Amino acid sequence: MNDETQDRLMAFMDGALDGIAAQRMATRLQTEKELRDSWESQHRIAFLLQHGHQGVLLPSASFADRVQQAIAVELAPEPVARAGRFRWIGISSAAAVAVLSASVVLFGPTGTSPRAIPAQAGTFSALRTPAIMLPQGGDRFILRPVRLFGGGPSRSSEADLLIQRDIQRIWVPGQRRLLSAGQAHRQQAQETGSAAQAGGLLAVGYGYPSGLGLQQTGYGSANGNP
Amino acid sequence: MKRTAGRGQQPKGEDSGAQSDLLLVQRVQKGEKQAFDLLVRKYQSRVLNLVGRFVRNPEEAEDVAQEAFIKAYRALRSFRGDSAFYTWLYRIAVNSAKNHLAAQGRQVATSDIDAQDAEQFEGAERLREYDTPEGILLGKEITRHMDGALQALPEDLRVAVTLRELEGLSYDEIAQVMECPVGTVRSRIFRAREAIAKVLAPLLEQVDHER
Repeated sequence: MNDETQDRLMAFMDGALDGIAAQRMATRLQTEKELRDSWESQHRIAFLLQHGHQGVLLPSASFADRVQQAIAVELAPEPVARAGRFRWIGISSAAAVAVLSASVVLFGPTGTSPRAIPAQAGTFSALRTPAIMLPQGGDRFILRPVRLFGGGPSRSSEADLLIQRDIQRIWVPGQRRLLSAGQAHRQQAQETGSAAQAGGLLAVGYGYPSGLGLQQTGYGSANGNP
Repeated sequence: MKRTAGRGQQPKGEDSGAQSDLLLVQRVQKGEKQAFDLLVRKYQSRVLNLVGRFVRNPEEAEDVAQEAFIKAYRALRSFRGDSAFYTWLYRIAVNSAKNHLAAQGRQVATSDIDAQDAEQFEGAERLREYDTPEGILLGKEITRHMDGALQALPEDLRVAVTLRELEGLSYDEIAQVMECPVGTVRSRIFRAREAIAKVLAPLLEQVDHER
């Protein structure tokens, strides 16, 4: 350390530096380890000279570092990826609850609502399998209709099916509930064939070239009821 | 050797150091954490020994001192400079020590003393648990090494640092006594402390190692 730096450091410690010079010295102290060590040593020896004969407690060499670490830990932001993931899950969960509630209100128990879909209608235009292009340029996925879950539709409750379908069709980033394009196409082909045989299904396939998130759904039955 | 400042009298230079404290505080308030590190390094010995007046176990005292600094950091945004930073910090340290004792179900050894009193508390030496045989020996060793280092200093350095640290004179007053510029006084004191630090370094390392 040269004489000028020495003098400025001592003047700063004494509060004798003017505004700009004091700011410069503070910046240097914050960034130069050698200067910071000198600052600490000068204060420590001054304290020992003033109080050493009384018997003193000496802070361990790492005391200041531990304080800094504790402060850094306390102020560390939550990891972004983790926070983002939970935020998406939260949003998705809320959306699922909303859809569920809406479905229950609209359709109610099977056969009691005027808008209830007749059980014999059997199939829905939900067999459409819109494609989703992931923005990362990754795999191409096609949402899998709810009918393809669990080995075919249950005829016992159409409202339940609708609810299940809407829940399943909610796209949750990071959640692999979606089938790859090949799988979905194969299953769609099988399902379309069997459903068409069973109830004269109007199966329309179309894609969303860049759609993300919830897809549009339209309800309709083979017999034209809304 | 007479030790005026050692009896709790604040060296006059510390008052003027309040300006640099305020500058560092303002930097911390702007979000520069490194500025707080400088304040910790400056006041760690004082705060630790202040806490040690209440919390007699050295390890506990260090933990409480650390906690006091963290509390000070949290509260620094509300520091308006109505009092000197060290007065404000010492108050936090005293409260931290008292709270620690209360949480432990222990009686506060000294009632209703403020930070300034705590530093000057004459009976403090009798209260300290760290006045163990090892602690006493260490204190004597430090004193012996410091006295030896002081005696080994060139006269101009020895006089300057003695007037400053033991007699509590300001730089201006020392410059008048020694008939030299203030800058020369600063340089002499700086070099004297560095020389003493070199002598004490092995002793301080030993303390760290034993912990």
